[in-house]
Amino acid sequence: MSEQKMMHATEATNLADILERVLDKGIVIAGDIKIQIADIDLLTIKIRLLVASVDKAMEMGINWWQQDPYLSSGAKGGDIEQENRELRKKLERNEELKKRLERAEAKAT
Amino acid sequence: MNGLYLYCLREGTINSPAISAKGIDGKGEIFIFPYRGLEAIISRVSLDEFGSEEMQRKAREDLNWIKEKGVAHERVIEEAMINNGKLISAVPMRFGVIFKDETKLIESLDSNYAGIKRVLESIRDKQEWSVKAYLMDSGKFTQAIKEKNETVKEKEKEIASLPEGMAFFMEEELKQVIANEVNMELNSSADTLFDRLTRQSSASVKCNILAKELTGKREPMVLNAAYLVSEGKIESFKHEVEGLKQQLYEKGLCLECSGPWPAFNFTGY
Repeated sequence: MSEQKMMHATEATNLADILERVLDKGIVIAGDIKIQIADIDLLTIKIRLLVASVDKAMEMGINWWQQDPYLSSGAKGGDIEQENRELRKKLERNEELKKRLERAEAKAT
Repeated sequence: MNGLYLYCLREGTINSPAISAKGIDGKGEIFIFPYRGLEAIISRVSLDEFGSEEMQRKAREDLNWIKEKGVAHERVIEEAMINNGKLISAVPMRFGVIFKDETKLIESLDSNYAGIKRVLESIRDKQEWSVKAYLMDSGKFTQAIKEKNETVKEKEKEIASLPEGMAFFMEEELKQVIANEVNMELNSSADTLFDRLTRQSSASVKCNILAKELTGKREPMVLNAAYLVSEGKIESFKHEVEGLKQQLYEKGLCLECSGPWPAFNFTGY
């Protein structure tokens, strides 16, 4: 086997890579307890919902995964103005998504 | 009461070093549990804590918690894949599999034994690599299509031959034609890229396109692929990636390659 380390940080690896794999893939083996985690699609919706709440966005940082030095290499300097504009747009869309999610959850339970 | 949290399975090792990463609970020590020539990488977790409603709720709702636990899970697997400076194969578990005791773990290993061995065999001496493509410069990409695409040029000729009033309405149609061609060209670029790298690999899979909220990037993702690459072919795989990166850069696309990853995409059965 080659002399090698796991070198994920070499290029623009971020949290999405990890979550995508750890939460969504991997072998399924029966345990006594399974922690039922949000799947990756639902996670995206949840992130959208979170950015919809300004308090939460401030608290967590809209790009919390980019700010973690382990998780991101070459995190971009943010264009705050544009970020704000995008956030405002998202707010509207998220209200709609939130309603949809609530309806879906109500159905599911 | 303590339970056993399972991270991954690997083939039995000799003199393997202890794993220094902390367990999923942030404090538990990682154990290597040998069983019939396999090793289960586990740590003890409090069943009161991990079996609780509270934990289930966090796993569904608390993004910071998910982030922290997901990374902790991944780190243990990464460390378990290094043995005396060398990379070894491991079958990674999905997040959140806990056994009440050793007996239950053994039962599960027993009933899955053949499958686990088969999967380990299929990833032996191979590594998972991730390749993602993003549309970095849509202006550049669109411009190239405006200049070279035959369908677009035909439409432009048609418009040029029309009286001014008509041409105005046709402009809208032209925009639509361009948007369609951009979409088709993006798809075909992604497919070509996927196929060329597939030729350098033992197996490949297209993963879901991730939303911007997850990637944390402003540029949209156009391809998310995983490749299982033989160790002997890693260099030629990387070489191919570099070549493609240059080519795609000219078109306004940006390529990212990372690895080796635990073989999450090639071990599900």
